[in-house]
Order: sequence, then structure tokens, then C-alpha cells
Amino acid sequence: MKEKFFWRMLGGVRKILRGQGSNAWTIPVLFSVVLHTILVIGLFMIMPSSEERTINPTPSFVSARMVTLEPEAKPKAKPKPARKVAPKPKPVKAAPVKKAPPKPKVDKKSIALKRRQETERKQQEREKLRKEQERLDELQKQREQEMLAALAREQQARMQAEQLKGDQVAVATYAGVIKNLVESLWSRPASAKRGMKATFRIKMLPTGEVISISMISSSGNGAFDRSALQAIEKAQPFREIQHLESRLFDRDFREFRFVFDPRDLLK
Amino acid sequence: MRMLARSVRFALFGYLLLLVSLARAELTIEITQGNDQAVPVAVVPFSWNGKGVLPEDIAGIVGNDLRLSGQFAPLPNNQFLGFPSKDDEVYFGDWKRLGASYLVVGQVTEQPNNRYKVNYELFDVLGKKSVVRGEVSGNRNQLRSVAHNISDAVYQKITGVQGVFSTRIVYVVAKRYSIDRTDYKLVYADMDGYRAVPVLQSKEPILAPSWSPDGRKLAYVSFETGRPAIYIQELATGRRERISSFRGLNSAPKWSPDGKKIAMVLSKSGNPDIYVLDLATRTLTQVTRHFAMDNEPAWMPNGKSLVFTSNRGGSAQLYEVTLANGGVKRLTFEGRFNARARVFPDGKSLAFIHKGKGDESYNVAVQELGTGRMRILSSSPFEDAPDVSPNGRMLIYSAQGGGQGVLGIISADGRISFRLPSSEGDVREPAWSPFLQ
Amino acid sequence: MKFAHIAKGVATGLAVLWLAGCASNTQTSGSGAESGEVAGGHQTAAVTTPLVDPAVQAVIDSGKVNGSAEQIANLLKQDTVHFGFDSDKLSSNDIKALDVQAAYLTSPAGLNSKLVVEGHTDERGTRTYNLALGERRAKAVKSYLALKGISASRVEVVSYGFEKPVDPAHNDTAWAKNRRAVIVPVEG
Repeated sequence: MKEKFFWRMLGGVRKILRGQGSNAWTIPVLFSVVLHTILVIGLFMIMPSSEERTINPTPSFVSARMVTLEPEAKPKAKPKPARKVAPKPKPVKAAPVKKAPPKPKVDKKSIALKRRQETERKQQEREKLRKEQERLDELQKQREQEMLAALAREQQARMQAEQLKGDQVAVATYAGVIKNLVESLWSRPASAKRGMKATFRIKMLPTGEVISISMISSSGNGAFDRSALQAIEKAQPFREIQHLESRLFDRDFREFRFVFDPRDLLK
Repeated sequence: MRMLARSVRFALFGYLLLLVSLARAELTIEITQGNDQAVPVAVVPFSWNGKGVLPEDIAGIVGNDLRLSGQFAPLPNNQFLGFPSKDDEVYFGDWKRLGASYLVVGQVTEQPNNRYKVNYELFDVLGKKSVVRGEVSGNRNQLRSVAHNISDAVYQKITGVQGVFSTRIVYVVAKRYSIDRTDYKLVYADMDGYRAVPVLQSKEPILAPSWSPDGRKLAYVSFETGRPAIYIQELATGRRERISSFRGLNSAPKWSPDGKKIAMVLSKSGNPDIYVLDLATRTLTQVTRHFAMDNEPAWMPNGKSLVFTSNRGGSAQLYEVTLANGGVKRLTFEGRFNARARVFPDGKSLAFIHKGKGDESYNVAVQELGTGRMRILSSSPFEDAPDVSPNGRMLIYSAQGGGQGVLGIISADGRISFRLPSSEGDVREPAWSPFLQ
Repeated sequence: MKFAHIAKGVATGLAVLWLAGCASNTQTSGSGAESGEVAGGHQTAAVTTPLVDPAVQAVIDSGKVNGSAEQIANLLKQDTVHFGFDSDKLSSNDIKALDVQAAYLTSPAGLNSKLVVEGHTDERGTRTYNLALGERRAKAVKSYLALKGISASRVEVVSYGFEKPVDPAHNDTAWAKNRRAVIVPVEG
């Protein structure tokens, strides 16, 4: 089927080239060929760029890591040559300005005029060139500064992310310790079923002692709720929490929630 | 390579998002599984206000009931720091230190006319509060029932499931003197094995007792005429009726959930097949028709189909037959022998006897009907006749112990099993009553 | 109780009557110690033996089985056949015994007797499963006898499953003994 279609298409193209294609075929086939070409080119062009785009929302330390995985991505490579180019224009700019003045000094009247005109013209040109050069320099400088600023931002973001990541790992670790403790002591009643869910708000001291447990939402099964409460009571005090930075304790553990949601039971 | 890079990037991104979301909202710790160990409970000996000694150890019976369920671990009372019998005598800290999650206390008070009043209270030690209290009374002979009643109340409160401690069991005891002389008894007892009384005695085999769903009658097979026949006996009066004595087998009666029919095995037409007898009209309907041995019917809770044993596939396996159309579906595939099924009250699982490939022992197994997943619950060599408690949390079965048949009780998850005390003789063929009024 | 025993009992009774009638000597029967050796003799003590068991004679007379009188007497005594695990197949050894039984039951001597075939199993499996299996075994015997001309109405079948083990022990030897069918003549 596919092959047949392909040959017919080819035939159609040939007919068009020979100028004898039926009117019904010419336009759709051409249209289709053009569309496909655009699509194929587009795909080649878009694909890498779309990958780069996925990098953007992620913090820079991740994208930096990605570069090593992906040799094609060039976000790092570009700024580097730009920085190297920057010092070069300075000596170039100084040289022509110093060399120009000695020439106009040696002159006669008629020639002098011509020469003056000539000089003026040259000077104007030079001026133009200089201005162009300055403009370019300015642009270069601006770009450079932007680059540096971006680098600084990136650096800061990276540090922040590292900090954030460190915090999160610490919080997740202690949350995991508490989770395991409670799970190891939770004896579910015979009536417990998957889908039952009870939520509690806990107030805890930095010693790991739980000072209040309040039920935010019940599972609808008194025995289930009681078993969850008992599991918390049996597991506390969570003394391990004493090793957590107090900044993080205050932020996340002074008050937190337990959701009892058994996933290993039958419905 | 590119795909890998992309997926790695995606995973890292997801990880970060997770961490960030954790940072923003209030920290929530999800408890998604449990350990489900037996709940430690302290049952304090009940105080006694009366003359002489307390006729029954109520607390001892309650503690034993809770232990039998497999879901509780009663603490030995020699560890107790005090013996409270009322709420104002309870110090939660003491009991928490012992590791008790719950505490049961109570008092027995002697009353006129051989009556006893029993007050009890259940405490949540960790939550430091009373959960339930109650009063039950009875005469001297009813004190065990009173204790089972308290066990039921405590069990119900803590587990959210109706307790079965007030239910009964029947079983057969055989005492063999010689090949030609064996005495058989059909025995009625509390589910903990106590208060056993014979309801039928015979010199010929008795087997396969089945309860009527109202708990008032039994159907069973008796060989008292020298041939197997099926009888119905009313427990309160002892009145009996022979309902089936065809030529050949009259075996494995099983009362329907609505109490109106009895499924049974007859071989009157040559081969053992499943039949259903309508008790009101006495019409007999043949359910299976196969040259193999069809045997051991058990009703699904909706009364619309029967699970039965058949060796039609070469080995004994379980099948289900729909009564409306006779359609048969095979249920078990694992192992060389799967027989004598009993259906759990929720209709979702079967208990039966299983023998694996290359395995010489016959064990109680449970299979979930939905998934077909089977697990073997126990491991003694010759187990038989599993029956499910009416709340579906325990099973009773027979096993070999010291060369004799004994009864075992095992939690439905198979984690905890006990041997029931029994009278002298070879004990077998247990059947668990429904909930009784 | 068992078929062969009764047959022997009857035969012994007949022999005693015959001895009394002859009153030719005072020596008691050697109870078959040299049975079949002096088949035709009537004069000496030893000659009493061949007539001890008319059932054996009936089998021999039927011409349906080959073998010495001693072999036939032994086979006629074998009222029990054994089975393999979870099987109702008759072994070739047991078939020989059944052939002898059938020959007797179809002979004029045994023509009027009725019998019950009891089916038994070992303790492995469930009680109710074994009740059905025991019946299969008993029916295997009944079918074989039917094949040899004993009408179904003369043979009743009953299964005890493993309610009545010969050996109540829990081992292979006991199980092998317990997997059996027993032919029991109906009394009266």
C-alpha cells in the first residue's frame, strides 16, 4: 500500500515536471512536497533548540552538568570567545589616532587646499571610523557587562540552589526517619482498608517531643483513627530531630502533618 | 544518548520540583504502610465483690480470647505494677511503661439468686482515655458467655470488626479401641474449645457437619445405619431428620446462605455429583454432571453459585458452578491437590486444603478470587477441614498432633496459630457457627 | 465375617458331618496341612482334606481359572485388594483373586450369595474427598465382578474413606495397608 502510494506520488511529480500533470494533482502534490520540506528542515532546526529551552527553567547548576552529557549544547562556549575578543579592540583603537596627525603639517597653498580637503575628508572618515569603533566598543563593553552580570547571577543562583538542596535533603532525611518510625509501630485494625485516610497536625518541641496532636480529617473509621494516633504516640519523642539545624526545625518541624494512607492493604 | 540525556534531565527536574514543593507547603509526612503487629493489651484480673472465690477468671478468658484472634498480645499479669478495677485507679503512665496500648479492667459483683453482675472498661493507654465501658450479667453457668461478650465488645472497639468470641464450633471426636470398635461423638463447644458437650454419639463414623445460617441446626453425615446418610439435627431439642439416604454417597452437606437449601454430594446415578435439595419442597436438583468425582460443595455468599472439588482435570482442583446455567469455571491451578473449599464471608477469598507439587503435606491455604493469588497458611503435615470464622478474620482446621487429630485456630493472615484444648480422642471435622443471637 | 472365612466355616462343617457319617476313624483333620495331595482318597485320615473346602472345588469345577487347589484356596481367601495412592486401578495380582471370587460366585455353590464391597483410603487428602475415592475403589471391584458375570444387584458398595484404617499409623506402610477394598458377604 505504502509503496504504491509512493510510486503514484513520484509519477505525479514527474508529470508535473513534464508539464502534463493533471490539474487535480499539481497543486496538492507541490503543496505537500513544500510542506514536508519545511517540516523536515523545521524539525532539524527546532529539535536542538527545543532541548536548549528545556534547560532554561532549571537552575544553572543543572544545566552546567547537562553540558557534559550533551556535547552539542553551546551556551557555555559562546560567552568565552566574546570575553577573549574584548581586550583586543583597545590597542587597535589607539594606533590609528596617533599615527594620523604628522601628515597634514607638510603643505603648499593649492595643494594645501586639496590636501586640507583631503585631510578633512580623511579626518571625517577617520572620525566616522573612530565613532563606529567607539560604538562597537561600547556595545562590546555592554555585552561584556551583561555577560558578567549573568555569570554572577548564575553563580548566586547556583549557591542558592545548593543551599536549598542541602536544606531539602536534610528535611527529607528527618521526615524519612519519622515516617519509618511511625510505620514500624502502626498496627492497623482489622477493619482498615485501602482508601481510608486520616490527617493529623503535630506540634513538636526541638527535643522531638510531640506536645499536641489534632485530627484535621478523620478516616471515617474510629478504630483506624485511634490506631494512627497510637502509632504517633508510640513513636514519639522523635529524638533524632535534635540533630537538625534549628532554622530548619523551626521552619518545617515545629508544626507538621501526618497523613495515614495505607497503600499496601486491600480495598 | 540524546534520549538518555533528556530523561536524566527530566528526572532531575522532577526531583527539584519535588524538593521545592516540599519547601513551600507545610511539611506532610505520609504513612503508607504499617507493621500490624499484635496489639499489646493488659487485662487486669477483675475485682470480686462476693463470698468465696470468683467462679470464673473473667479476665483470663478475655485475655485468651484476644490472644486467639491473633491480633492482640495480652501482657502477662506478673508484670503489672498495679491492679486497678475502676477508672479512678488507672495510671496511664504505668501501663504505657509496660508497653500496653490498651487496658481492660472490671469488677464482678455477686447478686441474689445465683446472679453475677460484671462491669468492665476499656482504656486507650496512649490516648489516655476511656474507650468503652459496659455491664453484663448472668448466672454462674453463663459466666464464660459473659466473658466472651466482653471480649467481643473490646475487640469490636479496637479493630472495628465484630468479634466472634461468642460463637460456637462443632467437631467430631473419634476414640478408637480396635479396628472394629471406635466411638464417635459430634461435639458442640465455645469457639475457644471450652464447655464442650456431645450432641450425637455413634459407633459408626460421623463427619462433615454444617451449620444452618441461623445457628440453630446442623446437617451432617452419619454412618449409623452402616451406610452414609445426611441428617439434620435441631440443637436445642436434639430432634433429627434423615434428609438423604440414596444408594451410594450421601456426603458433604452444606447449608445455603438463605437457609432454604442444602448442597450435597450424591453418587446415586453412578458418579459423585453435586446436588441441591430444597428443604421446603424436597425437590432435588442435580447441579453437576460429570464422570469425574465432583465433591465438597460450598456456597458463595450470594447463593448463586457453588465452589466444589473435582478431579475432572486429572487432579483434585476447585471449580465454581453457576446454578442458573450450570456454567463451570476452574479456580485453582497451583499444585496437585486443592480441595474442600470454604468461602470467606465477603466472597472474595477461599480457604481450602492444598498440596503442592513434590510436596507431601496437606495444608490450609487461602486464595484471593480476584487475583488468583494463593498463600499457604500453616505447615503441619495433615491438615483438613478449614472453616472460616463469621467475621472472616480467623480459620479453624484439623491437624495431626502427637499422632492424634487436634484443632488449630489461625489468623486469616496466617501469622498466628493456636491449638485448641480438646477432650481425649482424635479430633476432626470442625465447623464454625455463624454469629449467634 | 469375611467371605473366605465363612466359606471355610461351611466347608469345615460339611466335613465334620461327613466324618461323623463315615465314622471310619478317630483321627481329626489335619486342617489342610497336606491338602490336595491325596485328592481322591477316602480311606485314611489324610484323605479328608480335599473336601474341606467345597468352595475351592466349585471354583475348580467351574473351569474358569487355572491353578492348583492350594493356589485357588489361597486366592479365595484373599478378600482384600489394594490400590496405589489416589488410584482406583486394580493390580494384576488382585485381578487373579477377583477371578477366583467371580468363579465361585458364578458357580452353583455361590450363586445365591450377595456381597458388599467396602472401599477404604489412606488418610492423605480430605475426609470427604476420600469418601468419594473409597467409593471409586469399591466400584472398581464391583465393575470387575460384573464383567465376570456377577450381576450388579448382588453387589453393594459402601465407602468409609479413611474412617476405618487397618493400621492407624501415619506412615507409608500403614497407608499401603489402608488403601483397599474388602469383599464382605452379606449375612443372612
